[in-house]
Amino acid sequence: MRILVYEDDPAIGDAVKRRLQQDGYTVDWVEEGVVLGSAAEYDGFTVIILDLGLPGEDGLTVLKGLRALGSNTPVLILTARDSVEDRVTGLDASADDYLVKPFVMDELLARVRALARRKAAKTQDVIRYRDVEIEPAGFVVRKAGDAIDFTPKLFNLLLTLVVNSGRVLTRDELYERLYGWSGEAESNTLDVYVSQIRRKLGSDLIKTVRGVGYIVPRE
Amino acid sequence: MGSDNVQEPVSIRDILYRRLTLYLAAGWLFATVLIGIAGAQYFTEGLRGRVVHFADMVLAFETARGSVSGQVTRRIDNFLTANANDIGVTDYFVVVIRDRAVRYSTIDLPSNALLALPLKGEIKHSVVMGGDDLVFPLTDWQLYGVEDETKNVRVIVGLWQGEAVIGIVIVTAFVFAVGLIVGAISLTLARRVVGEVVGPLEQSAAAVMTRKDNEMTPIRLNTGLVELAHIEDALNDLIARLDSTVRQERDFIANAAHELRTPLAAVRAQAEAIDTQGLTPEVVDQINSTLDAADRAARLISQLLQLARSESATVATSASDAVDLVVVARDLVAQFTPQILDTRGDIELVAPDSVVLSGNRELVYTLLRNLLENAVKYAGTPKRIAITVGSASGDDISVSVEDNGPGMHEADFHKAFAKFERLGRKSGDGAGLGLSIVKEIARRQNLAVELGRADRLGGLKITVHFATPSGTPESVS
Repeated sequence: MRILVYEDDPAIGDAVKRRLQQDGYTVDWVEEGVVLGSAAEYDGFTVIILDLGLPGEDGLTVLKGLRALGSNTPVLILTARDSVEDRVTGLDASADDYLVKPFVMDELLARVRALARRKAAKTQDVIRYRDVEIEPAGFVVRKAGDAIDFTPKLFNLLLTLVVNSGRVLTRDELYERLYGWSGEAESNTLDVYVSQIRRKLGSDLIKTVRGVGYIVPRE
Repeated sequence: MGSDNVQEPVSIRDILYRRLTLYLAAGWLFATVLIGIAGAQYFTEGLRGRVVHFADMVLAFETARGSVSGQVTRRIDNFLTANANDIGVTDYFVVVIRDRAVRYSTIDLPSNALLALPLKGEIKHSVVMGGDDLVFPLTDWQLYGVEDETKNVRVIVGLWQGEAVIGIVIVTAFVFAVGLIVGAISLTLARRVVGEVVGPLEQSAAAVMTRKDNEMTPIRLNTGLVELAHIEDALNDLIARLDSTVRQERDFIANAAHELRTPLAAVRAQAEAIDTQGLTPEVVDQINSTLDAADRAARLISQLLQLARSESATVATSASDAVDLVVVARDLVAQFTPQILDTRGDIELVAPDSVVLSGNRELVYTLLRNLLENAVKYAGTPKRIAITVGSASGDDISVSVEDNGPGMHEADFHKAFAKFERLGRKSGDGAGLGLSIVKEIARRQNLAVELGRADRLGGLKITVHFATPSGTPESVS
């Protein structure tokens, strides 16, 4: 898997690059804000890590530029700006995640893994989480190698939660993301489905965050 | 600047009243005394003039009469009755001595006493009258005598000085009374004038005093007084300069905090990128200490930045957004959940679907985030945290955050909000600024913060009281 890192600080760029390489990623490190020529160039990467304060084009411009080219590659903003406003601006500009410097390296890696899963879901690759394998193309779920039956609705819920592992998905978010669920927001359908998934794959997989939603903990 | 000679401030009202009263009273007494003295002079002079004139007149009458004959008493009586009133003499005595013998006397005294009367002078009534039948006890008799040596006639008249005294007393009393009235009127008018000047001053002071300390808009006094308009200009100039200084300071902090983060991130990232395989445990410990120190510094920077931002948020804009506390709380719980789950802990939100109030989003966010960070820092093992959004009673919208940590003794509650105060524990990456940020925001937004024991989780429970759903936040305690 290839990661593109936009980072102008040599020490940070170097450390991020080395840690990602230790984890088996191939890393391209760019030290200034330049928008690549085509969507295809961006789509060659699994995840893009983007600093906002860059020499040359500013990080947000790069982000808008690559989205304008038509690339859907997940983007993780890594910045020293931590106000609510900055975060909202970044996510509104279609960044997929936002991490504030200074950061814990493991946190960065966990988020990169989560974004890699998201990319995989988009490109119909096999997604692995602990001993669970999900094949988006064939609606296939395996636990420890054994195939388990899933209805399309349950499958989509599981996929959404696993792809976003490490992030709490609020009930509203889940209802929004799951196609065809909009009429069921009033009921406890979600809770019923979650308990069905737990029966199939074990109770540890999906955690309830009372009053907020559900989370598949980060690996 | 030495401040040794600072005087106790005095009220302008007091100064004006006191001075005015003093000056008026002095002028009044002075006028009264002056008029009293002048009156006394005037009346005594008049008395003297009359007594001389009277004596001359009686002498002329007596000498014109020629030789001695009978009916002396009757004729002098008639003369006196006819003329005394004309020259303004009412209370008098007359003694006529001819050839060393008393020929006529209107007073009842022995002849030798009458013959011994001096020609000029004042006679105490006791000497002359020898009794207490005089009307006015304090008065004397003004005595004047004239003599015609050729005819050997001597006339001595006395006028009662009481007349003059009464005149002096009346005039003085009049001046006294007029002074009193004028003084009273002056003071009343002065009270008005002073009120017109001091009133706007006091209103202006109140207008300045009641401003919030983050209010940097120009003051409008609207007193219509030129002098106060000058003060207003000076104040506004000062406010503008303060505002710009405060802003510069905040911007500096914000920039510095922002700039510090990047090198700190570099330190952290480099330390974490070290391949620890094959290193001695001591070296690994050293790397971990480096990471801890970087985390503490990062946290401190972040909190300083929040403080600076909470100030600029309150000062720079009075814009208030419709903030849904539940949305903010959900977002924050979502952010904190992964790290709580890492410790096999638990975090929950108890809230209705939506609680909207008008306020500053950034501040509400920062406030709740610091409450949660504090709870995460002090929670027990595994960490258990509950956040409750709701209206406990009627209009009172509140957010409570409780944890299962050691809690806090009531005696320490007041310390909780002090900057850099970390109670109980030394661990954690907090710089001890979190709750002081909460306090700062609460103070600026007029929110009440309450500390207590978490009934269910057993640790500390911090509650922030917001206002009614529609209204602006008001102070609860």
